[in-house]
Amino acid sequence: MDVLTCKICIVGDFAVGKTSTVARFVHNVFSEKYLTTVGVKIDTRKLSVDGAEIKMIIWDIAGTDRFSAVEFSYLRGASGYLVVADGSRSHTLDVAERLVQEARERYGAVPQVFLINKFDLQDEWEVPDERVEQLRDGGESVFLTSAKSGVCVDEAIHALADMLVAQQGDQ
Amino acid sequence: MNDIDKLKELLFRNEKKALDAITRRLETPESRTADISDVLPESILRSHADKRLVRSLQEPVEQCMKASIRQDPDSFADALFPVIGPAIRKSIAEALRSMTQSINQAMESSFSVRTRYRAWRAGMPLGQYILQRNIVYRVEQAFLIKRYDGLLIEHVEHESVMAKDTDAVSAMFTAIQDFIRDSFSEEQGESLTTAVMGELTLWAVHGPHAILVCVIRGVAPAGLRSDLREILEQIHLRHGEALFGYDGGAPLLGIDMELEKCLAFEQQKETDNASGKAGRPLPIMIFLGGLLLLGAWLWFSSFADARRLENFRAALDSTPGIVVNEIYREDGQVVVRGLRDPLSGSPSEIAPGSQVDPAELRLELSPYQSLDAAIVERRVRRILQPPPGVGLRIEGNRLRLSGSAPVAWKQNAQSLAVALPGVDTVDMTRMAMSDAELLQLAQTELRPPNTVTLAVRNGSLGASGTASHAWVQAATRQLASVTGLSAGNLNGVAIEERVRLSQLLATTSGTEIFFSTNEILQAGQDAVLERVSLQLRQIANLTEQLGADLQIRIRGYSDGTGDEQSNHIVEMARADRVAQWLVNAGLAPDNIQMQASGSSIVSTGVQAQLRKAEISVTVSDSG
Repeated sequence: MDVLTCKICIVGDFAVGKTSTVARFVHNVFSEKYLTTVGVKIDTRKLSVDGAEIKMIIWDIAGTDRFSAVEFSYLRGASGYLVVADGSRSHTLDVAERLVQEARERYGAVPQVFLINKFDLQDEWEVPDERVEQLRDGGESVFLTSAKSGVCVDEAIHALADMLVAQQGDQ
Repeated sequence: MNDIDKLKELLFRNEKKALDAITRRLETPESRTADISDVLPESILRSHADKRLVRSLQEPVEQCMKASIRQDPDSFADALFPVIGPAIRKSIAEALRSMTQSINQAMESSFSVRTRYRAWRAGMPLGQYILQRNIVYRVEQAFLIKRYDGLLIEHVEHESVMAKDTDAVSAMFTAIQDFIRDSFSEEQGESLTTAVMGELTLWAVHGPHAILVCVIRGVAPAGLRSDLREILEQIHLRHGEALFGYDGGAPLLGIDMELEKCLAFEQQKETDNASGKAGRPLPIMIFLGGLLLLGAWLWFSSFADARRLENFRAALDSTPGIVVNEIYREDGQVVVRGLRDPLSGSPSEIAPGSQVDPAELRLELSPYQSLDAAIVERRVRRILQPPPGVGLRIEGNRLRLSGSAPVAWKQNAQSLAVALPGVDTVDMTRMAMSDAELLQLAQTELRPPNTVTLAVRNGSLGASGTASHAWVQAATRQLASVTGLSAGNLNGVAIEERVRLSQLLATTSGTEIFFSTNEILQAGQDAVLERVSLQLRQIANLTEQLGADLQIRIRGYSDGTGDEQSNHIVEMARADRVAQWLVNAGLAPDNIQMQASGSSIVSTGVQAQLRKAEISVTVSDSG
């Protein structure tokens, strides 16, 4: 059976838990040193969706609140985005939305899911439910995740995989 | 409608309809376009034969192409990529082939007999044989990566290699390439082509849609890159559209076969065992040994000869007045080319010192004038011909003469020497001078007035006559600059100001001013005071010029008829009267001293002559 290979980029502000989130479900190929040196680390994950095999080439792009030229070049040709924010710092959600907006303006719209991370820190949670609802109403897939406990991370990845397979089927 | 029109209608109804239809077609652009498009292909085909169409289309088509290329050069470059590479390679290959032949010929004469023998046995040109022996490499993996997003299109590897997650490697290669380009490159279109890590080298060849990255172990020949480029061009030619549209889905058929060709590139190092030592016969060994000895002897003798020439050149280079441009052996002769000053040493005389036979020399030396100090000195001696007792030395661009010589020779030398190359100035300060020369020099330097006579005897200067104080002072200072004098002074010159001062002092000092009573002047004494004050002013001026101190003492006298106190008062009053006169006449009060004669003075004689004031003047050198 053919495997669908897709380039996925993880974007988000500094310290929102992007790398910890991917670390839970990927096959680590390269050291995390790459993130601080070249500003990107690549991992892969294979999963099957409705009998279709999909291999995600996951580009974990170092945290930033605005893309530079080199980061834009990392985004080129991405089939989907994992957009990560920190639920205990609500402004990181603004940053995440802006980053996605910038990427979309440069390369066009592709499937994306929002992961609002650190759901385990309930006491420090800042993102109001209305904001999440607002995003969902706007057609976004939003998952409240915890990289620490693994809550909803796999679901979010699968949701993105579903979208990619569906999109592939449409073509 | 009249009858004629009706008749027309009846007769030509059908023709009119047809005419109207034709007019409509001609006036409607759409129908004309359709008509022309129907016949255009056929008419182009027909008119092609007489070349007129080609000529008329040439210019517009050229303009179209130029505009199109200007607007989107990348599309043209992409379209030409599979075609232009082979064309360029073909022409370069032609050029390289002829160059390789000449390299082969050059190498034929430069490598050892053993290597040439082995190349002959292997049945290949010497150059090719040496390359194969020395270049060892193997292409271990080949990645075909989509240029746009780094997706891996295909990957092949050598069976002995355990590749890591190739999709991730492909993406990371793309990321690092982007990183390097965005961080360091100035040109946006530039790409990473080579990366080296220990024994492994990554070579990347870039096409419009895909990048071919090969992992090579060892040192690959430069020609491999063009082989890889050829493979990438073939892939683009056959799968260009598919590469462009590849989205990570089903693998592209046939590309793995193309990529496999990359793995075929490898070169094993040839071992000595493979060449079969056993087959080398003894006579050949002896012959080769003899050749080796002959070669060694030839090499040694040529080495020794080269050393001799090197030494000879060094000896010539260190000889003033000789400039060697090149020195070489030709037809058994040692050819020396360069420049030589006729006053320099002869190369033939220098040669034996470097074990070069003067008979072998062929000198091709052009004459020139050297500015080397030794040569300049020889040239000066030759031209000036200094008499015995004259020392001559070149210091930079200065000729320094010492000793003694006739005046005529010295004057001649002075003017001749500066005309010679290498001499800018002549220094004769160390040359002995006659009394007459010294006197002439002193006259020039001191410029005495007519009232002064200078004389030089045995190098010592003396002077007599009178002169102003200013000249004596200036001339005394100037004396030191009259070089060549052993001693000298201007003591014999009387200073005009001092003479005048003495005369004035003689007439002024001791002048008496007489009074009638008290401090009232006798008749006619005003005129005396007038004269005295004029003289005293002249004295004051002269003392100032000479830098001397002036003291005017005025002593008042009385006839002694009164008591001592009234006498003292009247004496001081008379002195003061004279002093006031002098001050009013312009003399400085500081220089004037008054005193009473006092009771010690015995008053005798005519009383009228005792009532007086006496002026005495003293001039003393200050300090």
